Amino acid sequence: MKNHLKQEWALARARITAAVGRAGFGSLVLNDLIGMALLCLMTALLCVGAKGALELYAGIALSSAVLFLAVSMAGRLLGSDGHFIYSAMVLIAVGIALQVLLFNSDQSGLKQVQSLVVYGLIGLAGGTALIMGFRAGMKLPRKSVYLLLGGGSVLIYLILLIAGISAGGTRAWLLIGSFSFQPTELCKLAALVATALLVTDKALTPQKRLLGVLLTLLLHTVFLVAVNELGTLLILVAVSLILCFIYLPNTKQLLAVVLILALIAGLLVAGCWVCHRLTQGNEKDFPAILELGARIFEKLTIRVSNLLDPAGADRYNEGYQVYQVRRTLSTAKLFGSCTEQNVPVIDSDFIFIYLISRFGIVAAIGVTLITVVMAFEGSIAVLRRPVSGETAASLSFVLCLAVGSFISALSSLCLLPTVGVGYAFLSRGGTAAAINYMMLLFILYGMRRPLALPRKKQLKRGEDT
Amino acid sequence: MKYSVKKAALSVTALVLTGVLIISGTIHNSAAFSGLNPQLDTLGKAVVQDAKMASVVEGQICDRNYCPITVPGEAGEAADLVYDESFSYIVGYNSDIYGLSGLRSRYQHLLFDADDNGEGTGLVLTLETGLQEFCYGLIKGKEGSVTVLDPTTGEVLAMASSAGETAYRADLIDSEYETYAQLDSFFYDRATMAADPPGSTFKIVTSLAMLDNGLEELVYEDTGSYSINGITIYNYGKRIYGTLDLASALQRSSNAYFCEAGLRLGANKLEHAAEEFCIGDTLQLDFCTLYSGFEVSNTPELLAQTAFGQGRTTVSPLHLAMMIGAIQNDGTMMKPRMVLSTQRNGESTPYGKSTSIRAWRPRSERESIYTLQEMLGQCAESYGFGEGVIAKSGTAELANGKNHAYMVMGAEMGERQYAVCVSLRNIDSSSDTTRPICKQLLNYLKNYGGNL
Repeated sequence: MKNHLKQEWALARARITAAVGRAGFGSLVLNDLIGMALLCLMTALLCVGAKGALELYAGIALSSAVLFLAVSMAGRLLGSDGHFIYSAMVLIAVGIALQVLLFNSDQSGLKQVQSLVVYGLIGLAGGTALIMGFRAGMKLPRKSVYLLLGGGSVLIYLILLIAGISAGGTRAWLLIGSFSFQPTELCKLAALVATALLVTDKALTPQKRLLGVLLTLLLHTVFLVAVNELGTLLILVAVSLILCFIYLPNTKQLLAVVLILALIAGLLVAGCWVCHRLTQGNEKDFPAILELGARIFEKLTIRVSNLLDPAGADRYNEGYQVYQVRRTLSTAKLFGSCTEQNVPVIDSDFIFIYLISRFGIVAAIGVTLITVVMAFEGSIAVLRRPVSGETAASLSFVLCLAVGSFISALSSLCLLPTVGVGYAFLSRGGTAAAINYMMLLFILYGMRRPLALPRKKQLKRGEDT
Repeated sequence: MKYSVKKAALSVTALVLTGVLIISGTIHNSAAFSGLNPQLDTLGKAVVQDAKMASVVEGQICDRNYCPITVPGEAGEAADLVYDESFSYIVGYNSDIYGLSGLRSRYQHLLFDADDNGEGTGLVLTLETGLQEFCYGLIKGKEGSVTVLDPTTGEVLAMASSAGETAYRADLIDSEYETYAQLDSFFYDRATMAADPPGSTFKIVTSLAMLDNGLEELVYEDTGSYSINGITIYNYGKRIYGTLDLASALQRSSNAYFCEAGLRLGANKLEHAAEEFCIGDTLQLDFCTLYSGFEVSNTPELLAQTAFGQGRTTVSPLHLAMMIGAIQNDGTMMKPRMVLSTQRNGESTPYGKSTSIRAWRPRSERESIYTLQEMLGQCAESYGFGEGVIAKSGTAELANGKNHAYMVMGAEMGERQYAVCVSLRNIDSSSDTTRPICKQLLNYLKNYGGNL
């Protein structure tokens, strides 16, 4: 362990030397300062609508600068490609502005930015730990790693099922004192890492790799359905299938799996729909298992019917969000604030609608384009690196950020029947925000440029680390 | 180990396309691009109006003597109704949950249009609070309505409605909505929205058609029933009236006599008479839209039924009041109105004016109306209403064995004239039940009518 730490420190020193050597210390600081100043200016301009004094904007600028500096320096130290980090930082700036505007009194607005900075720094620290842990894990036998990731996830899920608390329709929260967090986000990371390692595991045949991915998905599906985290499940399924599609040669088998998955999901939802219809008003006479199924999918059933007929949604009960989203969109402008902004959980699940309501349609289109650029640049940069568990994990995180954001936007627009999925770097959710920064750091790590290291031979393209 | 570049490119392309899908969805589902989603465009207008309302003190509504009917609260809050039970159907509710109804809905563009002080425009109505309260008291706990018009101007002086035992309190709409919604047609204003067969009150129309077409001398032997094409029509209670002329047939409300009259008149003449009373028209008034229906043909059964007030004719109690008002006003039917003026920044501005819907004929050709007034005066006397009053009762029989009872009445008290319709719905007895109500109303008008 001691030797390992020494080796890591040597690597870090080498990267700092390389970074400074490439750009020159003066230009490094100057470039970062100019970039940060521009981002701070943009954040402050976006926050102009907040009812605050000059001190508020100064506080926001200073707090934002800390976050921008941390992300920027992390990118530089890791020697990562630039475009991905720029698009991520623009999203961070927009996210800060949205939260300030949402909590627009002097103190709570600034407090919000400060909490975002804290989440960001925690996430970056967690990202460092993740990289260290990943590197250490790579030295272990793969089977042990899979067992660790799977076993750890099951343990977290069991704790959730026993001691978890419900919020927003899901049982995905743990409360320790006054501090609450969402451990399923850690399970999501574990599932993505396990999938990335499986699809790049040279010791396994393609069939076994596919089987491994499916087993991982099955494990997380069971527990995520149990805690009603269907949004997270949707992200996992999408990212896993894309990873299999890119890294596994057996396309036909994958297609068959996709069809079977779709069929199972369709039958499950249809079955639960029937249960839901049957048990209405007659709940006592039905077996417990049917009642359980109906209860789990009850909200989903209602959301699907609201999605199919938004105008007929019950505006006073389950259809309240759909109704308010439609009201908000009905007064949306190309630029600037619209009349209605009464959507619930606007700071996380429906942040995309809030973005539209405060900055207009053009801003929403802009943010979507930035997310597309982030996904595109991130994917390309990672795919340029040699194939390994590390780059596959980085790619899975890029996809996770992008797919999650898109699901969040589509849910906000009532085009998908899911809730509880945040938009990367825009939503407020503490645990999700920290995890996003963890993934961001790991992506930067995965896309780093090859570097001549003092005590390690240069890796060849295609060689595993 | 390698990966497929093509597959990677496809995956990245799919991500980009998802972004395009989101952008398309945003554009389609927003009203920023007007016309793409008409439903949202309409919703958007309503949302803007809601937002406007939230920043304005609701305008005050007063009666014709400037007595407050509503008392405004803070900006964005609903004004309180002073007489909540008697005025609920007219003024309506203002709820964050259920929106607006009644005059509040119809005049939201004025009531929530802020003046220099941030207050909405006030409305001065033609109603008189004392008379309105009295009329409501007459039907409280029953299902029905009492409407009082000034037939010379069309001004609505009172229009009380009741849905039955449960009183409507628009102020409590948020907490009581579920209770109200479970009751049958609770939110229908029985004075304006109830459209049912007029019963024997329609005999006024048939009588006028007879007078205009030389059938005033018709004498008929009433045997208590009238058979036509295998259908037998009975008088109310199967009563036999013997030999009847028009005046006595109107007074006794003989169905058999008016069946014969209807067949002799024919569909065209009956339809023309109904048109003169605007039956079958849709009337746009300043406080509601008034619907009525009329359909007749030369089919003998339908013609006979229409002539005594059944058939396919439907009118509202307000329309019946307009009809008796037209007779009382010597043949000129005035358009009912409820808003006298608006109040903004302390200044009063007249709103609309009294207009006639239809002046039937030149004064020289109004002899038949004067004759009809005399006949209806005899009816009123037979009901015990005294002199200076014209009246006609009516009972519409329903398939479920229940009745809708009407009494239309025109009264002249000093310089003022009143056209009244009292309706009681879904009752077991006949139109006789409306008489005590009318007598009480006449007494009230006699004692207090001068103040209106």
